[in-house]
Amino acid sequence: MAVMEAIATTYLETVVSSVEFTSIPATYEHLQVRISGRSHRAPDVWPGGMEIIYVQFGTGGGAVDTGANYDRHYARGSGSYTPGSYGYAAATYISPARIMFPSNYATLYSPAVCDIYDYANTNKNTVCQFTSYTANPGSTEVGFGMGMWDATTTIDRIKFSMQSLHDWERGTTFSLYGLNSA
Amino acid sequence: MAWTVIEHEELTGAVASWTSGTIPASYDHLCLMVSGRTDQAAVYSAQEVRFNGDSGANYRSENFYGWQASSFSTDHTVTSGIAYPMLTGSTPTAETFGAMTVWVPHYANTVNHKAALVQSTAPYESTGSGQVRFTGGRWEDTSAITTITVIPLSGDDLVQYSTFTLYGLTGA
Repeated sequence: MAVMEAIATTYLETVVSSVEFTSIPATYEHLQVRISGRSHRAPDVWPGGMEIIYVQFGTGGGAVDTGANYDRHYARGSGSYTPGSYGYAAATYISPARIMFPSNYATLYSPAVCDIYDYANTNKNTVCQFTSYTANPGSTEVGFGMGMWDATTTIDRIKFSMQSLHDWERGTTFSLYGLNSA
Repeated sequence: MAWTVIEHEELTGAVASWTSGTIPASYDHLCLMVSGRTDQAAVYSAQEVRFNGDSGANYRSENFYGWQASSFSTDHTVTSGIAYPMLTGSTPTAETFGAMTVWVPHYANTVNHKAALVQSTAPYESTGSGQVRFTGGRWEDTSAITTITVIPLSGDDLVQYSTFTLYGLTGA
């Protein structure tokens, strides 16, 4: 048995508003999601900006939890600005990463990596860590963030969307891996 | 790149520290994934990562972290472990555990000092009060790493349900 197994990969052939992994087995110790993505937003009302990824979790075969049950924190470095940090509690999503905006560097997709720890342990809330990078003229940014879903149930669904219901660009990929512990 | 599980442990009770078993020298790199909490009476609980049981003043570290509305960087010279990845203390709800990933490249070489990169987080269900942290650290020793220890700086215990998964990575 391989330690790191590919569970599913989604490659976007068209623009979509969200991507969900469903029926995630509870048999792994940790999960990892690798994203190569960019935003498709029309019209692009904020040239030079960057897009914020939203993440939500679900359990029991149902839809993702849209209640105010998420906590998050994000720290970033951007150009010569003083590094910033943002934290929120009781939110309806976590937003631990930033990606490319549509008007910037049309061929470039942002990398982001998400680790979800001990996701099947019903003694713990679900906690994840992100790293991400986006290159925009005048506002290149590297960041790392975390999110916590205030629920001890085993997650079997993950949804990736964007701020203000913006869309994911064609060509964006999401790969979900499971890491075994035996 | 192939991953191998070296060991995995879920704590069944409180312990003062966690130490791996003897690590074979047959991998290229190490990755330790921790989902942990301590009984330190605080929101955050600083950790040290030690190699081969060395608790001498043989480590140097640099931290970049986000907390509340600001980011900070601090360096720590002459510490007794790579300092200070952050896990959760006992103030957050009992279900809240921190997370930490430790990368140790070329851990088995006997020529160079060892360096490690640690990403950690201490979540907290209070606005702005979680913490995310990147730590880089150096162990001033050329010995091959044969054990890894995670130990709370405060002297408190790692608690039940904390998990430690140690992977060996090979490129061939």
